[in-house]
Amino acid sequence: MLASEPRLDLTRPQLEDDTARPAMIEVRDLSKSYGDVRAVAGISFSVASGEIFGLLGHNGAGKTTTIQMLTGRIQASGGGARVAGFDIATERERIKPLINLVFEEQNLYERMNGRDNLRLFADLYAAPRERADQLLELVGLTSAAKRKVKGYSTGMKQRLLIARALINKPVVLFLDEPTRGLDPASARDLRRLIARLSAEGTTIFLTTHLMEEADDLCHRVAFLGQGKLVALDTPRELKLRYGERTAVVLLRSREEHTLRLQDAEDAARLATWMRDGEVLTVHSQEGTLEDVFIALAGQPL
Amino acid sequence: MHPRMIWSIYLKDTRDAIRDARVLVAILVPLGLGIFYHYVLDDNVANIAGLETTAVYAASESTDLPAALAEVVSGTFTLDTTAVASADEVRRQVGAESADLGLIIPAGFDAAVRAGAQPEVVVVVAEEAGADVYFVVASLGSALREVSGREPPATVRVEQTGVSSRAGTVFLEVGFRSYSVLVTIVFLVVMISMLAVPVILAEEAEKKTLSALTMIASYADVVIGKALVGVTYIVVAIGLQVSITQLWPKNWLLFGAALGTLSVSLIGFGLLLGSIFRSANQLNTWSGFLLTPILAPAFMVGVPAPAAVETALRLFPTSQATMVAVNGLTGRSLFANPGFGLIVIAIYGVGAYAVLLRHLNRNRQ
Repeated sequence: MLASEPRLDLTRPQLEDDTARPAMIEVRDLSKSYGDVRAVAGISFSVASGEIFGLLGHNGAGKTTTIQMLTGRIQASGGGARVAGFDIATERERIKPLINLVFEEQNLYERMNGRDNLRLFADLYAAPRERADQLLELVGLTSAAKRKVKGYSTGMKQRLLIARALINKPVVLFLDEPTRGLDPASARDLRRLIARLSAEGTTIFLTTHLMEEADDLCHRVAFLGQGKLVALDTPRELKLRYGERTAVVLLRSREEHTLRLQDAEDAARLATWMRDGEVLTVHSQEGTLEDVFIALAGQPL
Repeated sequence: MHPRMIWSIYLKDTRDAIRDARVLVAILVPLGLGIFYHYVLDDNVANIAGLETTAVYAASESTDLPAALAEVVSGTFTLDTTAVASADEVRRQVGAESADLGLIIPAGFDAAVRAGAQPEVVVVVAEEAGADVYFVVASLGSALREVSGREPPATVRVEQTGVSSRAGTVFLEVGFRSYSVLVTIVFLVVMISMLAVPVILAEEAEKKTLSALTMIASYADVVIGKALVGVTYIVVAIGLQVSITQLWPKNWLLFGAALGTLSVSLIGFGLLLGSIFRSANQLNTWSGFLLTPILAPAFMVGVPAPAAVETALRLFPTSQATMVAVNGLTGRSLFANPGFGLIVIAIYGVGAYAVLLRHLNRNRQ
């Protein structure tokens, strides 16, 4: 369980003037090819400072490849991007201390204990070693600090991964499926932490399969399909634009009907029931992000 | 390159890797083998089972010849001589392979020899007598001169040529125990550099912890950190081995240069293997197949072999390291051109590190 009370100083160091820009991630026509296969096919977007940006899509849509390019793990085939004000192709070494990544895999040193895992990365990032203990407290692992990670549950490992990614107080935090393997309560606590980091100015870039999570958490989401950006907007706008708005009507006869609000025939039926006093309750429903994705990509996630 | 990050990675691996059973086995097996050889084997080849030569002799009166013969060959073999009752008994024992050779010495033999006469001594050998028997027979002349009390007609000085290969005589020069322990030290270097170190790297790649490290460190930082771990394990393990087995080299510099150059070069190969294999277990499975051609040349150095094989041994880093280390151990030039040997080893190392860095950088493409 993540600690409910903030005990950690999450204040980041002041950025240099040339990096203090509103857009923390700027992507222009970014692409990546493996032979004849275009994993990412020329995508463009920007992410503002403190924003939580979600990248959604099927397996193989190019989400992880995009994160790998933005974090400098692989080289782009075309286009470019700036992260924290620096070019990913030419200024990778300047970007490294300013960002971090919660990997999809639970890539921890399992023969080492939780504290030593964090201390190693504190040393690598030249962060004070006490930060390891502060972060263990933040993610609720203080009592397990001296236990070997091999004995941790999946949820505990995931929390340790989050703590590790915060060791350098990143300006931009990338999260690849961050709530994977977490129980609902831990996932909720993690979402709260992400929201708090965002409120304190950290830019969050995440990928997820969970549409509800993206809906709850993200200021904006982008949909990737076959390497292309097929939609980008706030969850609400996307749902209004692509989702099906419906109303569930309960009549006095206890019959329940789901009506499509954009459908003229259904609208007329509702008007008739209203006029005749047949309607007991009406619940309007906007579309879901999953509906949006189906509308855009033609298949469920 | 970031020294602070290299140091952090080095410290982490030095402590963490030793907890991996595969790494521990890679260190302990050669270490244990070396200690085992130290206590079981003997530097004196003559004392090795099967190399003791036995002779029986028949003489009607006391003679110094058997003892003189044993003395002459003592640098190479132990010749165990036993008097028997008759010439027939000599022939019977050699025929029955109870003795390797026999001498039938006539009456008044020693006195006749000293007087300058030429009495006949009969040497009885079996049909399939070994080289040791003929070595003893060939030594009879010296033994007879000893018995006659005459000075040798000339003094003999042995001189080594610059290109002499010592294969076959290394056991005699170095001592069987010392040579065997030395080879286990080379074995130790090979096991740490080409099994322990690659297991450490392959595990990082397999568990994706390498990705976490390279979020801030470079591939070069990781590679150097792990190479230093290998060097540390090798230095500590060799230090232990040498201390326990009392294998003190006469030329520490040459001995250290041989093993140091070999270590750095093979660690490059090991890291290359570690970056190619997808999992530490896969690497462990194939290690026997991979290590054999690397290790075998080191063992071949002490074994008599055709000239072509000896030439081929000059091309392998482990055999070159063994040759240079033998020179360092004995303080003598038993093998020619130690400088060339070090260059051969270094060339392998430079090649390995170049391919390794190219391979790691290509992973970012």
